[in-house]
Amino acid sequence: MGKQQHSNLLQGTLDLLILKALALGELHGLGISRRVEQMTRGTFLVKPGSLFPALHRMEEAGWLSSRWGESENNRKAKFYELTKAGKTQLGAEKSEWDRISVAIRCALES
Amino acid sequence: MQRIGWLWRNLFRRRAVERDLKEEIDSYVEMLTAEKIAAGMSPAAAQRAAKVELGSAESVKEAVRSVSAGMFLRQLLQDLQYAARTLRGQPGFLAISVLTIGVGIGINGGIFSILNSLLIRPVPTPESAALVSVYQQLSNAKKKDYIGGLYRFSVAEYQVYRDQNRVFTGLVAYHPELPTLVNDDAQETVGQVVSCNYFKVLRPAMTIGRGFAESECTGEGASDLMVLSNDYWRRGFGSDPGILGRTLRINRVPLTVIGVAAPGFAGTDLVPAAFWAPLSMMNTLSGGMKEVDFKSKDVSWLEIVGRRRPGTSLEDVQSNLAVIAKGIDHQEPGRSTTLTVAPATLLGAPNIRKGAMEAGAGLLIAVGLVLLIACANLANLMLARSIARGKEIAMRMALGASRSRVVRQLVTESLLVAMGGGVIGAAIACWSGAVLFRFVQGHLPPGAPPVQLAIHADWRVVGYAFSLTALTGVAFGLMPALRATRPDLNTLLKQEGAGLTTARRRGAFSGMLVGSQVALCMVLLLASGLLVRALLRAQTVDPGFTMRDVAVLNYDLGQVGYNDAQARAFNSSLDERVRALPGVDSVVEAVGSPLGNRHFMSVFRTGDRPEQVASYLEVSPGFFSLLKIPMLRGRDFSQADVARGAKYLIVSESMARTFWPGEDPLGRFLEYGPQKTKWEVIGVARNAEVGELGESDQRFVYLPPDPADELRMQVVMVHYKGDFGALSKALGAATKSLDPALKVKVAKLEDNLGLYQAISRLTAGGAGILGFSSLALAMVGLYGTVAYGVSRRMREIGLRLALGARTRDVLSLLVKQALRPVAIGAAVGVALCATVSRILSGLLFGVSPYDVVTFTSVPVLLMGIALLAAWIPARQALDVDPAVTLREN
Repeated sequence: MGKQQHSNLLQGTLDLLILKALALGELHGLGISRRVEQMTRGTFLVKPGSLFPALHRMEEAGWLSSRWGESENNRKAKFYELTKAGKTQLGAEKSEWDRISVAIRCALES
Repeated sequence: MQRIGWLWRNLFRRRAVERDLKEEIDSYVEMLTAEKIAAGMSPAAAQRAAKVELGSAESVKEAVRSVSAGMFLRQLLQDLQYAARTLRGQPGFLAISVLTIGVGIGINGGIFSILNSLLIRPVPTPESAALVSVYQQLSNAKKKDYIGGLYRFSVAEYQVYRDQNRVFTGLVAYHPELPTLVNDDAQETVGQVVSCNYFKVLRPAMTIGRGFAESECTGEGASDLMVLSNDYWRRGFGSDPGILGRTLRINRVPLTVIGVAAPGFAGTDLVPAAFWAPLSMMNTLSGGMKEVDFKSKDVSWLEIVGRRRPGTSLEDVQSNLAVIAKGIDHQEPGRSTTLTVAPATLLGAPNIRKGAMEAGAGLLIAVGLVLLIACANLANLMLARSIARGKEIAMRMALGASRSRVVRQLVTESLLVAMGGGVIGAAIACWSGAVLFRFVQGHLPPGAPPVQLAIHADWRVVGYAFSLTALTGVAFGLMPALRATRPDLNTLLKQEGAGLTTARRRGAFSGMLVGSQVALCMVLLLASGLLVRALLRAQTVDPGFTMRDVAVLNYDLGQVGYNDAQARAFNSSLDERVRALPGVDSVVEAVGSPLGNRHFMSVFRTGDRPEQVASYLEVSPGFFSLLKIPMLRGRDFSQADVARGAKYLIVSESMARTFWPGEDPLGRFLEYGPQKTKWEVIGVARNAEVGELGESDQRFVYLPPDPADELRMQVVMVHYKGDFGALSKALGAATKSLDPALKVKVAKLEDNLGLYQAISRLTAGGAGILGFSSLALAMVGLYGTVAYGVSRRMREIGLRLALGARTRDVLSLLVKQALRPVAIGAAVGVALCATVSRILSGLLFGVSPYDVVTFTSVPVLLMGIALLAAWIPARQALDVDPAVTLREN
């Protein structure tokens, strides 16, 4: 774990990663954190101090919905899943990200 | 929509939300622990490691809370609860603050409510929001007379606007303030003449009868009708329902009553109308002006008010009327009109309104300054309290509260206090406005116009009170809060009193507060000093002519039905008889007395020079020698001049300088009147304050009596020797012998100063009260600051004394340090007042706004009292044995 880099995540980027992490189905908090770590091959480690505020914020914005359920080990856990608005938001954030990265690439290569 | 659901949940289901959050975080830790156990750690180590990875659970929860909906409101509620709790524990502070703020805001609001009713609220008639007043400013117009104001209209102009406009559903014209004698009463009754659509456009309810109909006003002589106001009906006729159809004699002319208006309606003017009569009655009802040709387009005497069509804005009205004005202008080469269009208020006339707004603003600012000084005291108190809670504040910031959060909490406290004061203040404001106005009304001299004002505490007043409250709360809460939360936690957490630096830094802020208080206080004291000087001057003034031993006889022949010829006969007989009375030196007739309440203004031109508006008086020969006004060049009018109607006039020095600087004005000509007749200058009189007391611009014109205007010669001035009482009786007898029914007033010329003295007394008194309150507040603040500062420095003082310093030296050190901000504040205050004192010049009646006596004596007084306020607590502190202070920490 020490080998991997911890990078500062902008709020928008964190939102995008969380939304993508939930694209395939519902997860609980720890699960989301692990999925993001896995998707980004260890580049981004989401700490609870960033994760929970982001989850609650996105839930209040209407992109996620939550329910209490049981985890793999039969423990009570709060699961989050994408709402319809969340799915739309994921698409929007993806295009926005593409636009930004193209622009930055242009800037760096010129 | 969803946000509201979350908002509700976060605010009102707080416990469930918190429980949910706790469980979620706990479950996270559990699962993390399970993960680590699965990876091979022992359960205890795994749990510890998981908790370490989580970090502070409280921090995470706080982070979640800070992004949740309704955070601001939640914190606000928290702050309010906390503030209420702290304040409950300090009832003394709470009581003083709330009272101080309450009174300050109350008085301020009271004055605002007077200004509101006078200048801002629409006139008190039904549906008055749509009413618009129109005023005009003319240049190069052929006018003979402006009666009541330069901004008024002639009948012809009114008719053009009435018929050609496309923005009004109706346009009325009226002439207010018409003093008349009803049924030969002793007292005058003030009425109005109005256009016939008056009642149709203004739509007041009628108690009995009706208003005027259009048909009643066309055709000569068919319009001897009148409508009474409800108040007059009650006062004068005991609410007799039989008044309908009765005939009343107004200035000896019979008019039939056809209606009584509902209570509360008295016209659109500040001076309430007792009755209304049609415009065509103006000649008969205007007393001394009855020979004036009111129908002429050269006489401006009407005020006009229109009701806007629904959907038209003020701009629409302005542009439509401007077009009409241009049309009128075209008929007279060179003339141009500027129109002012404004919502109809009780005091709309442009020149008076401007003066009233300036005076009002000045007054509000003055009272506001006192409030500000009180706020500074409160700020000092707040600062002391926050310093006392320094450790608590430092702790909260160390625990993670952001500086803005703590500041917000502290400011909420001061806002809560301010709100308490604001509620009291709003209540006082609603009531004190009426009280203040009645007080001022009661102290005006009898010659003043009988204004009436119903002070309403409407939403504007309450809104004003509350904005002031909010400003106050921030004013005395923000700075101390910022000071107390400065990021120097170390010093705050350590023991108090050890740090000399802390004392000095806090001392600097307190010093700044005291300095500002002193500056504001100085401004108020200087202003009141100037006004007191003006008061003294008004009592002992020399306006440039002699006021002693001159009696003034005042009468209005028009009110008892005379015409010009009859008046001429009366006046010359009276002149003979008065001259024959014992003790009479000289007699002069005029249209008004100097510094009296009849003012005449007109426009004078010469050649290509710009025209000047100046006041004038028509006077008979002997005016200047009676009043001992020296004639600098040329001569007075002679009887022969008057007899042949010579077009001569006499100008004041300033007038001569304005038109013919450096040249001899004798033999030059001035144009005056609609025919642009040339009048020759035959004399130059020394400047004297003949029109207004203390006027800086003393351009004045003296004209000989106009034979066609005999009824306007309503004043006879008599220079006498001996007892005034005896002369007064003799004068009364003389007039009675000529016409027993004529009402005359005999007074001393000195009494004309009465109005100015009354105004002076009021302003000086008011300013004095404000000045003294501000002085008391500032000195209390200074005393408190010094006492507090010294008590914090006890250790340092004890050290100095123990090390051998003399009491005297330490005392002088403390006092000097305390007085430094005071001295700076005083200097700033003097400079500030010097820049703005010009504003007061209208009330100073000739006292210079930079009067040396005031500007030296007041600062000396202030510094002397400040010295005392600083010396006493310092002295008391030094009485304590240094051994005691050094032992304490």
